[in-house]
Amino acid sequence: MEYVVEMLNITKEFPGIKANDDVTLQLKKQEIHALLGENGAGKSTLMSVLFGLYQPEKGTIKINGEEVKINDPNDANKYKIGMVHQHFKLVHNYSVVENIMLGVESTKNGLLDYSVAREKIIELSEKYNLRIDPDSLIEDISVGMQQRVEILKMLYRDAEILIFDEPTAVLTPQEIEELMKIMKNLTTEGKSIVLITHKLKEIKKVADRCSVLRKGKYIGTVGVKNTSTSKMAEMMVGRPVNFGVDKKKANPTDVVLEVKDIVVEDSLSRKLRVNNVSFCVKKGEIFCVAGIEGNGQTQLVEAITGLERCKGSIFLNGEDITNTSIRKRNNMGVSHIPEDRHKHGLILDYSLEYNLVLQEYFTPKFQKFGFLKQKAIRENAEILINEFDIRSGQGAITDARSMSGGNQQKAIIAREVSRDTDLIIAVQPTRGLDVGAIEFVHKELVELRDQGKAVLLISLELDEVMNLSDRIIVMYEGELVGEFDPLKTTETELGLYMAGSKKKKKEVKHSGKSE
Amino acid sequence: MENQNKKAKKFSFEAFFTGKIFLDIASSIFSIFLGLLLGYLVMYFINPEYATSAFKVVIGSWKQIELSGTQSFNIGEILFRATPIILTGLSISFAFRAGLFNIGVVGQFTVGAVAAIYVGVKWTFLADVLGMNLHWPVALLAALLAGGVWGAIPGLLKAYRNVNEVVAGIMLNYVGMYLSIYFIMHNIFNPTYARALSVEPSAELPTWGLEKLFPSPNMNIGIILALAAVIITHIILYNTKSGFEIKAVGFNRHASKYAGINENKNIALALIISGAIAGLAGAIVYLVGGKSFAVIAVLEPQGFTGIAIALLGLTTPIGTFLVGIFYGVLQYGGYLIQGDLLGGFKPEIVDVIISTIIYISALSLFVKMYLKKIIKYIGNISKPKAEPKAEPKAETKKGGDE
Repeated sequence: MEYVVEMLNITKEFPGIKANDDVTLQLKKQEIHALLGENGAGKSTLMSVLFGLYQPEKGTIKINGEEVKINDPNDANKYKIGMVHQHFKLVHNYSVVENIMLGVESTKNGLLDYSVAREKIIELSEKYNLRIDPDSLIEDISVGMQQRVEILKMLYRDAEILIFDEPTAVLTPQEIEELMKIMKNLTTEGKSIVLITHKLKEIKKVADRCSVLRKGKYIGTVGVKNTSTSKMAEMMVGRPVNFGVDKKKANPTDVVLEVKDIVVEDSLSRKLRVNNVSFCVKKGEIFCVAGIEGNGQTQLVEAITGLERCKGSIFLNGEDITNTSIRKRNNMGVSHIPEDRHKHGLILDYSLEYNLVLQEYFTPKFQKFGFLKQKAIRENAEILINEFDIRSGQGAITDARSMSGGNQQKAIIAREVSRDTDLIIAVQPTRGLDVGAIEFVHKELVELRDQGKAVLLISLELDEVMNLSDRIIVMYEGELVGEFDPLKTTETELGLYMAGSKKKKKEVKHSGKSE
Repeated sequence: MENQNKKAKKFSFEAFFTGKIFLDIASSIFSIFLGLLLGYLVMYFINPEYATSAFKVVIGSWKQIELSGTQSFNIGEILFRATPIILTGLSISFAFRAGLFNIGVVGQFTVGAVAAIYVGVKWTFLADVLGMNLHWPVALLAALLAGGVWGAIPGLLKAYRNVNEVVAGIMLNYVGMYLSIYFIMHNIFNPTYARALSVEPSAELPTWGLEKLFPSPNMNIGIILALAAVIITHIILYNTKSGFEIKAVGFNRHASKYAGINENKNIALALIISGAIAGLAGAIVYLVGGKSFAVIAVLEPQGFTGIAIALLGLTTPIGTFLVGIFYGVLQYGGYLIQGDLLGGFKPEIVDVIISTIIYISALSLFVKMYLKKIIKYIGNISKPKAEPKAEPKAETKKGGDE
């Protein structure tokens, strides 16, 4: 059997942990090979080794049967390895052509020559069916298109081995569909693909074989066709995984949060980010705001939590909190699991224990006469670390920055949930998390609901929306376009509303009063 | 077991050497070392014969100073020179913790000094209040207040109008300087010397017997005040609720807002405290007998030196204190090497050394990167060698025991 890439017995250590422990990955020509594993399982490390960003302590890398040493990404380019990173590496105010030729610019008499590059790009996009306007600016095109630019960038450099790092995390269901087609297309044209992911559905759909990593160790490689998703999940997590969300029928009671005619205006462009949205969330239900990223959900949450000013009115347990300070709202019973963990959720340069008291350090429990009670803070951290199984290098004193994404999220959830508030606002709480962690978050949210708390969930993942919520509204371009019962609707229907091709007029009206 | 223990130790060892704290300190020390080396080279070119002995004096070699006979070694002189720099450095460090670059420290220093001098010259009634001399404490208080007000201006502008504190600070340095000259000319001017009047003896900082401990004509409680300021700011930053908030705002404004911290209040507060500390520095320099404020349009240098000291001290209060003392040693050395017995160097040589250190420390990121690489390289070389060696040894030992 011939392999285009073989990574044999790779071991990569970082101070304190073995990120890869005797890992083997063999990529056949023209296959899509999924690399599956939880967060922190070592997938990215392994690919960084292949891409020349890290040097392994042990193990060999063979390209087309020949042993090679990859010292830096330039070497990787030389061996025709290309990578689409999870966070795109594009210059936003450059055009598509400029981005693609960046680093391998074609010149004529010492001046940039766009026409050569342009032609090649058009040729490539036709060959691989990657339609794109070469002259538009990156900031003007959608995320899905940006991803195409990244793919073209690899192809432009004649890459044969393509690495996709969590490529679907930022895409809409329709865009994911397209990407799958593109990937299939690429392999029929002779490319070989490594797909890093933890979404089993996608693996099942597109991959040929699948290698599983768990905690840095190599678990095995299986053919996707004759392996069930639950088997793969078990390999990844190390125990049987429950995919469905176990929950009883919701039993909503009193209204906790009421939002009336909320309007949020962008301070710069004067565009209406949220346009006249009204709804209410009751105790004992999970209320979900679905929608494609950038349709006003972020601004809606910022208005409710007080991070942004808004018109309209917001009531918490009947009390008007429209103009109340953030601190006051938090104390009155709002927990917020924010969308952006690094921007809002954590102070990365603070230790875990400090981050765990971020919402409570000023209470008598943790301070006296203005002096922090270090001992109480440490105890609080230890209790939460135990209860929520937050893993980190040095326990309570670990810098939040050095923790893995999943554990950072766990820390935020631990902090917000332990405050015992009436309303929990969870914005994409499972973004970037692995199956095990997702299961944990979902369970936690359902449990909170069953305890009689109101949960406001904002999610882009249709699976999550359908499985978790008791009521769904869809936002499109800042407006509320429909309200649904998850038991009576389908993903396709939601998808159509999310994409703006359908709109329910009458149902929206009943909740909104015109000013 | 033993082997395992060793391995575990080695691990933490490498983690320590590539850790943030070690690299930060190492890069500061590296900058200092390189600065000294360059200073020595310059001295060597000027006067090769005396360069070595004079250099030893600069870096505070006790023996050399006494051998040269210029003066006996004097800690008091060092502390006297270090005090204002420790305070201006502390001022910078404190603001830095809130993510602010308080370049306005110069202006705050100046207005603090002038406020203290004004009280020291005019408010003589304070010399005897119910048998207590309140003159110098009130003068200090005036300096704290004036510095705080001068820090509040960029602080409030930054917090509520998002005006860059560096721009506001630089402008206010000049405003402070010219305003001070104007104020002195109209209130406390001494036309014979074209300087401000000297403060009354009752407003001079007392010595509290320190002059016996460290015999120097310049010794006063300034160093104690500086040390107290260092300890207080350290406690504020690391043990209090306010410190928690100030650092949180410095690290991540967005997350602070999310957590309900009033980030505007904390930004303003950080610059007010920073300004007050700078004002205190100004007071300590001028509440000294025989010292008078020169009425010339030049920015006071202590503020800018403070920036360098703060950066070298890793913008922590304690680090700033230590580096400040080191600066005092250099300054005193620079003063001593003017003597003929040491070759008659100019004291400016010390400025060359310090500016080199600052220059190198500005490259600290670069230095850190290379240090990390070197340490890793050493780690990689020593590892494969050490392991195979250790194992057979352990085995033979075991065999022997059996």
